[in-house]
Amino acid sequence: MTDAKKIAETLQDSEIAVLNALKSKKELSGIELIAVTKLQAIEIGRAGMWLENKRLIEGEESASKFIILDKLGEQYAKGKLPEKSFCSKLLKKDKLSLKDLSKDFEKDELNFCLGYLRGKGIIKINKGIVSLVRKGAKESLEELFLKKLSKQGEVDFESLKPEELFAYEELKKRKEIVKEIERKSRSFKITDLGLEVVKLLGKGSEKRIGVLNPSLIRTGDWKKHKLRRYDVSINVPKIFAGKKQAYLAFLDKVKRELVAMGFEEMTGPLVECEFFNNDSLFMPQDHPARGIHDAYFIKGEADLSKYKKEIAAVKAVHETGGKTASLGWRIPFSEQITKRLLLRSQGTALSARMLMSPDLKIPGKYFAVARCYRPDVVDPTHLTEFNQLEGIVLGDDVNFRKLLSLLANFAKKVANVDKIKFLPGYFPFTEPSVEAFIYLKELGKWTEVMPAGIFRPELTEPLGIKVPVIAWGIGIDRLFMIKEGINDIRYLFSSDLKWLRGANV
Amino acid sequence: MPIIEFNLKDLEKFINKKLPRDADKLTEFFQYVGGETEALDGDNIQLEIKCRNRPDLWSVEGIARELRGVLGKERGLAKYKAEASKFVVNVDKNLKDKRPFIACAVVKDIKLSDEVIRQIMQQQDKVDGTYGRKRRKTSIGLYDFDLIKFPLTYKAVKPRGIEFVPLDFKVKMTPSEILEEHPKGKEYAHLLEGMKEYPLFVDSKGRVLSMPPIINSNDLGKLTNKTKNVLIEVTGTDYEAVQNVLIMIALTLVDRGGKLYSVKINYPYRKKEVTPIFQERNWRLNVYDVNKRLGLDLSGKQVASLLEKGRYGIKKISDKYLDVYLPVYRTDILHSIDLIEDIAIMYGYDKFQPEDLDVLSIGKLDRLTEFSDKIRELMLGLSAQEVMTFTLTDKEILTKKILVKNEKLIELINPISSSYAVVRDEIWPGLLDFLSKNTKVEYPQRIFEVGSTVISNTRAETNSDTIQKTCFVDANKSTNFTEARQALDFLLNSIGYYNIEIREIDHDSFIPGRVGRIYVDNKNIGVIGEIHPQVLNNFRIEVPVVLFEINLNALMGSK
Repeated sequence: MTDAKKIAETLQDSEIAVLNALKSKKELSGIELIAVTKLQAIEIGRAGMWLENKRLIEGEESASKFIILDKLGEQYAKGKLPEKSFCSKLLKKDKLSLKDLSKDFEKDELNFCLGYLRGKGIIKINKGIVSLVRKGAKESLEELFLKKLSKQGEVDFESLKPEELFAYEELKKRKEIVKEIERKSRSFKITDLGLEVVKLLGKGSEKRIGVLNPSLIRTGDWKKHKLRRYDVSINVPKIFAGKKQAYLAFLDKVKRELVAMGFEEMTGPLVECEFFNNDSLFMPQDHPARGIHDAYFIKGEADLSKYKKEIAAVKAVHETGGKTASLGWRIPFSEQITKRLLLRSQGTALSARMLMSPDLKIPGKYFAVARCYRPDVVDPTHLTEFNQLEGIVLGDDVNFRKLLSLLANFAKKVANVDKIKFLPGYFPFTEPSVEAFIYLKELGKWTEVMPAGIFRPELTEPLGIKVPVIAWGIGIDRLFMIKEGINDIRYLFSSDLKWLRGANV
Repeated sequence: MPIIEFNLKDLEKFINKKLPRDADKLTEFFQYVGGETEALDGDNIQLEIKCRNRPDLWSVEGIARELRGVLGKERGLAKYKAEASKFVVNVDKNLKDKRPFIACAVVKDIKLSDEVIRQIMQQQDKVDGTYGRKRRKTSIGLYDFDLIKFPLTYKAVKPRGIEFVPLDFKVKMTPSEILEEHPKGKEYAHLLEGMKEYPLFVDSKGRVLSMPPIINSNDLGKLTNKTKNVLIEVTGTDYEAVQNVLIMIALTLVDRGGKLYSVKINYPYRKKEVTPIFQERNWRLNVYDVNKRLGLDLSGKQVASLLEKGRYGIKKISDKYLDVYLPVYRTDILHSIDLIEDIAIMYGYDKFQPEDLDVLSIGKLDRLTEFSDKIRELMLGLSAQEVMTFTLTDKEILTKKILVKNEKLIELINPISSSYAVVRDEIWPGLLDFLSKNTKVEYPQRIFEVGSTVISNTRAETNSDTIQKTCFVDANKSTNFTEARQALDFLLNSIGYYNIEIREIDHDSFIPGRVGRIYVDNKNIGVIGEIHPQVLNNFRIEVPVVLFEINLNALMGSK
C-alpha cells in the first residue's frame, strides 16, 4: 500500500470535506471553507490542523480587519438611531423646545442630533425652539450599514463598498457604535500529496467509521463501511497509573535475591532497648558510640523479665568475661542502662533478637532490611532514619573464607558487580572483621559498602550459641544511590510526586 | 574514629622504606594498622585509624612499630623496660573517692622537635578524647622534668585553696575560677561536679604542675623544643586504663630515642607501686581454633611466624598450641579470637581463597512482609503511586494540623529538629503533608504507602508495638467517599474479606457524616473518610481528599 493510500484511509469526514473543497487548487480562508463545507468553525480548525500535519494541505496565516457593532450600536440596530427618533418626534409635533427634548434624549445624543441635523439642513433652531425644515431620507447610509452589521455580525473591512465605507467613517466618529477587530485567519492550499490523496478518495461520499461502537459490532453494520485508519505515530496525553516507589522496588529485588539464596527474614520493634541494641552485642556501656548523640532516646524502660537469664550472662561477660575465655570489659554493667529505650540505631539489634529467639535454626541464614535511626541533621548526604541490610549465617562449618565467598556472592547478586576486594575492618562485635570494597563503574572507583565479620564469642556464647555466626550489614541506601546515580539521599524518601511518577522501577 | 595527621617522611625514616604518594595505594599499605587515607597533601597525610581500641596506633611512632613487623624489619616482641629511679609521687588520701589513680614515668635525653611535640600532643588529645572517654576515665599531663622538684604530691585542695597560672593564661587563678572562666575549665568542669575538693598535682616546693583532669600550669606544665627530659603523668578513674595510657605515651617518647625511668607511687589507700608496670601477659592459643575460624590449614610454626610479624612473642610451639606473649601496648586483646584476627591480617586478606558457603537453609520472607506485598500489589492495581515517607515526623502534623489532640504519641527525648521529633502512629497525616508539597503537580493524585507505625502500649516489651499499616489516598477535584469505599472493598474482597462494615464515628479531621471505622468480621481494622476542608486548608490542599488506612497486623491476624 502506498503512503497516499494509507493516508487516504486515515481521513475523517471533515478532512475529506476540506480536501474536496480545496481540490480546485484555489486558496480558501477558514471562513470560505465554512461556507463551502457547511462545517462548524471548530471542525474546520481541527481538520485543517490534521491535514497540515499529514502534509496534505498548507496553511498560511493572515490578519484581517473586521467591523462589528459596539455597545450603543447594538442598541441602535435593534431600535433606531437617535437622529431618527429625533426627527420622528418633530414630525409629530412640528416644534419642540430644547427643554422638552432634553427630557427624552441623553445630553450627548441631543447635542449630536442638533448639530448633525442642522448641518444637513433638516432642522433649524430659533430661541430654544427646534423646528423641522424638511424630511430626511427614509433610511440613511448609516442606518443601512448598521442593519448589515447587525445581520452579518461582522463585515470584512476589505469588502466595504464606497457608500459603506462612508457610513462606517461617519459612525466611527460617534461613541461606541462600531468598532474594528483584527482577526487572524488561516487560508489553506492543497499540496501535491493532497491532490494525490484526493484522487484516491473516489467519489468522496464513502462513509468511514471512526469509533467502533457496540451497535456497529452487534448488527454487523461495520461491514458496510470502512474503518478509518488512525495515525498511530502521534503523541497522546500522559496518564499516571500505579507504580512501585523506585527505592522499594529495588529493595524488593534485593529481598528476592536473598530469599533465593536461602535467607529467612527477621523482624523486630522500632522502639528498642539498650539490651538488644548494644549490650548483648558486647558494646561496653561506656563506649563512645553509645552517647546521647548516637541514638534517639525515649522515655520509659523496657520490660525484660523474659530475658533474665540472657541479661545475667551478658552482664557477666561484660564485667569479667563470664563463662567465656574472654577478659571482659572489666567495668560495672548497669541493668538500668540495659532497659533504656531508644529507636533502633543499628540493624544488628535484629540479629541479637534472632539469636535469642526460640525459632532460631542452626544451621540457618537470616536477613533484615532494618530501619535505623540516628540523630543527624537531614541534608543531601544524611538522613535521620535510614535502612541497613543486615544478615547473619550460623553453622558449625562457618569460617572466614566462607564469609568472603558470601560477600563476593552478594556483590554479584545485589550490587551486580564482579570486582570485589577485602581489607581488614574494625567493628566492635566481630572478629575477624572485614571491609568489602566493590568496584562501581558508575563511580569509577572502589567503594566501601559491606562491613562484615564473625561475631565475637563474647556475643554468641552468653546467648547459648555454640557455632560461629557470620554477620554483615550493608548501607543499602547508599548502594541504591550509587546504582541509580542519585546525589541527594533525601530522594529515597522523596515527597516529589513528579519524580516518583517519572522514576524507573 | 581518630584521624591521625603526620609527615610521611617522618614515618619513612622510622620504617626505612619509601612510600607512594597515592591515596589508594597508601590505604592498601596501611591496612595492617587499620588505616584509611582521609587526605593527602604532599608529604602530609591524614590517616583515619579504624581501630578504636588501639590507642597505641594513634601516633606515627606506634604505626611505625607495627609496620616494622609487617615489613619484616623487626619480628616478635619489642622489648621495653624502665630504669629504676628515686622519683616519688605521694598520693593524698582524700583522692580515693575523687580521681583515685595516678601513674607516672620519666623519659630522659630526648630531642623534642616541633614535629615530635605535634605528634605527642596529637596522641594525648586523641587518647584523652576517645580511650580516656573525654578525660573522665584517663587524662594525660606532660611536664618539663628539669623544672620540677621531686618528690611530687597528688593531693586534693579546696576550690579556693590555692592560686596558679593555668596554661595559656597570664594571671593566677583559683581552681574554682578556672572552672568558671578558663575555656578548658568550662569544658571539663562537669568531671569535678559535686566534689568539695579538687585534685591537684604539686612539686616539693608547693608549685602547681596541674589540676587534673582540667588543665596544666603555665609555668611547669608545658613542653618546648628546649625540653630535654619529660615527666609523664596519667590520672583517672579506671586503674587499668591509667596504666595502659602511661605505657602508650611513654613508648612514643622512647621510640623517639628517650630513656625511660620509673616513678614510685605511694598510695595511702592501696599498695605502693612503681610505674610504668610492664606486665607479662600470655595466652595459650589452639592451632585448631585458628584454622577452624579462618578456614585455613596452618601449622603451629606458620601461626607463630604470622604472630611474630604482628609483634607478638612466641614461646613453645607445637602443632596443637602455642604460648603467645602480648606486647605491653596491646591492651585491646580480650580473647584469643583477637589473636586470630591478627593472624588473618598478617596472612593477608587478599590471599584468602573464598570457599563456597554450604549452609543449607530455606529462604522466606516474614509473614507480614508477604502480606504487605500482596496489599501493595493490589494498591498498584488501584492505580495508586507508591510512596515512602519518614516514620519520624513533626508533632504538629499528627495533632494541630489535623485538628486532634494526641497524648499517646511517642516523643523523642533528644530530637535535633522539630520536623523529626515524634514517631508516627498513623500514616495518613504524613500523606496529607506529602500532598501539600505537590499541589502544583497534575491531578488526580492517587497515592499509597505501606509502612511501620508505632503505637504506645505500656504492657509491651519496649512500651510500644510496631504496627504495619497501609494508607490509600485519593486527591482529585471530583473524588468522593464512594471512591475510597470502592477501593477499600476491592482491596479487602481480593484477599477474601466480604463481611465489611463501616460504622460512623466522630473524628475532627474528617467531614461529619463522612467518616467511619472499618470493621471486618466485627473487628476494627482502620478508618475511612473524607478529609475536612479545614484540614485541607491547613495543608494548603485545594482538592477534595478521601482516604482509608488499615492496620495490617490486625487484618492479617483476623484470618
